[in-house]
Amino acid sequence: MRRNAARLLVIVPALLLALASLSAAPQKPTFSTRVEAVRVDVLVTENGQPIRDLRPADFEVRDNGIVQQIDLASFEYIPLNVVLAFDASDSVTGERLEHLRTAGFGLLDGLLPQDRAALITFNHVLSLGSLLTGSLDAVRQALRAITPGGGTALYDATYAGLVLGESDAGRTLLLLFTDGTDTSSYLARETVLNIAQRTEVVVYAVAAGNPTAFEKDIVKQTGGARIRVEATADLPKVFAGILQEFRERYVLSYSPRGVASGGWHQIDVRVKGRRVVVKARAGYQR
Amino acid sequence: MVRSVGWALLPPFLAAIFVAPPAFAQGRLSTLEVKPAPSPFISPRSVTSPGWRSPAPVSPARFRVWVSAVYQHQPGEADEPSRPIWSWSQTDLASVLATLDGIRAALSSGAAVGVVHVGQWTTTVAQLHEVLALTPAETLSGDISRLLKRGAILHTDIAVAASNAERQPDFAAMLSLPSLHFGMAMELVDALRLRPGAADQDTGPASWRNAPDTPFIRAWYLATAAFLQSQYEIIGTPGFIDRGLLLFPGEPRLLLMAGGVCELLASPRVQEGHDVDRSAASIDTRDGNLRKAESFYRQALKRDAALVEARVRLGRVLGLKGQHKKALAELQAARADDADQAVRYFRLLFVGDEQAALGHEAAARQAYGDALHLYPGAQSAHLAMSSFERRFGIREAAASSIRDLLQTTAASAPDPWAEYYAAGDGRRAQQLLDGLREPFRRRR
Repeated sequence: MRRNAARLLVIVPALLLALASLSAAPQKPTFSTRVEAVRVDVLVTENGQPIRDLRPADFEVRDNGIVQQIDLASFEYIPLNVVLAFDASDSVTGERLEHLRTAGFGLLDGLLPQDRAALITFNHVLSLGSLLTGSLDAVRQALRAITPGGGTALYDATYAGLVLGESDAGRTLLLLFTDGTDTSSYLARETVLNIAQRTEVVVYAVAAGNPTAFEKDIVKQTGGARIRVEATADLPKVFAGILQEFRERYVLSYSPRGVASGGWHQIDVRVKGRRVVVKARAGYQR
Repeated sequence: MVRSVGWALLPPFLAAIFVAPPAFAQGRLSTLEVKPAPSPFISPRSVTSPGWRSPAPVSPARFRVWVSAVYQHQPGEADEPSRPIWSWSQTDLASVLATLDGIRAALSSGAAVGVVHVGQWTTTVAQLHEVLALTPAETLSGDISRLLKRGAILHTDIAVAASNAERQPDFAAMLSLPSLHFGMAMELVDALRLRPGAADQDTGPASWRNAPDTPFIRAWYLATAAFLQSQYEIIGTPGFIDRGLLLFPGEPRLLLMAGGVCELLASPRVQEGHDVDRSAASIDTRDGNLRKAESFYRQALKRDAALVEARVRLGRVLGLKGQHKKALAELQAARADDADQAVRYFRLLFVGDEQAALGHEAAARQAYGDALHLYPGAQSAHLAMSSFERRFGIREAAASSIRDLLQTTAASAPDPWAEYYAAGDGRRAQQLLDGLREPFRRRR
């Protein structure tokens, strides 16, 4: 008990320090979950509307069924990392590409000064538009330069987005856009889903067409959402909605107690005494 | 009772192709699937063709157009002489076959002079020789195999052009469906077994294997199966390979391609495809296709134990089935020194995957590193290395691999993985097609 209390003292300041440092020096990644804290991005809605007035005591978090003590429940502004992973296969041309670009520009316009963005495009090959940067003009430039053609390495791109997204401080949103099925990836879907269990990145998948089972699984795994657009003209609205929703999420943090250190940990997040919808990642792998 | 005119040269397989939905051109999946040979699907006598009626022979004038195109066409080119028949319908093509069948019957009747009938066409043997532009030797023997081979080349070329033109609507609009011309070419190739004097009913596999034109027939099946596979064409390829395996049972090169098709059918591109109704199309599950792939590779290795690519692919399939120790054993047994560079790369990549799955960190890292040495910058090796590092918790190394990967392009760092599902000859399709055409090309 004494040891746990001591560890808590170390962890919570570490997290707060890290969050504070994001504002001061966003280029310097200082936040790390290696201090054993588990961070969970949580969206709470009631009748489709986000609830913004919850405090740590309102939440109940179970790790493999064991109730955990929440160290932090933040609804404050935390700088965002937004990794855009856009399908640039040969079907994303003409109007569809223009809609995608417009939606991307709109999302970038919605970011705040301390937010950062990155762009990966994919066909059968992954291409770098921009690494995570606060210089959003570089990302806009990369959006303009998208040249479609080829197959669809959806799994590989998702993996790359997850790894790039977790390599920096802050909360990370991976916004995945595709209009097709994976045709070219080297990585197996199970590999990517397994890695997703080890990151704190939240994936929102936007599909122009029927979402695949992979998209369903990856968003469930990471606590994100999948959105099907009937017409790509809706993309700007959809992207703006995703950004807004992501900003309205809580960040919970706890230090696992009473559970085995390794393996799969299922996370259940509830709000005490209220009939609300809670969306959070399914668990984590240690 | 079906008269041999039309049917002998239009066996049920072609009829099946003709009456089947033009799935090839639409990019949909058909009900065809690979089955280990011998397959009941292609037994010539077991396939019926409901709705198909024997076509009448084509008019003499139209037949002359076809013969002219056959002889004037320069193999490998979408040239002017071939253009008149680009857009011929299935009825047109079937009528040509019916005419050829009638002519063959007339020539084999032994009547050197006198009137013969080919459908409504009343002519003489001498005139037929002239129409067919036979050489004196061919005239003497009544041998039309040169015409059949050139015809097969012509229709193969049109089918290849039509396949490649699918994304060029203006060009594609001028062409019939690729499947029609592949089917026509197949019938002409298969007709090579029918030599003068052969019985009309002589359609069994044994007689095909003993045909004097066996090298051409084998080369044609290998080249077309390779081409279709290189296009990731999962409708036509199984049928061609299946039929090739009936003619040439145990042909390791065909077995290798068959395994590759099954790996493709097991891949997400098919298993998760939006437009694929797998149950309606009778496409097996991922596991089912992996089992078939394993079976094909094992058959290929039984015939040719030195077929390194089959062993490497067998290793991958076993790994996908979760049999990591067996997979690693096969991969390590694959003597890849003499294999082409892509196969050596695949072997290293898969060895890395299996070592990683077995928890052998150093060996996995070494294998991935060797793969990157062979193809510097190849994205698949970077991805494999990165995901391996990430699974073992080494975040910075994982991210570093991805950053390195993202600095590469397809042009700056070729990646053999892009062609993985074209197994064996599938990666040499153009070479095989050129080899098939070469003896028929006119020197300029």
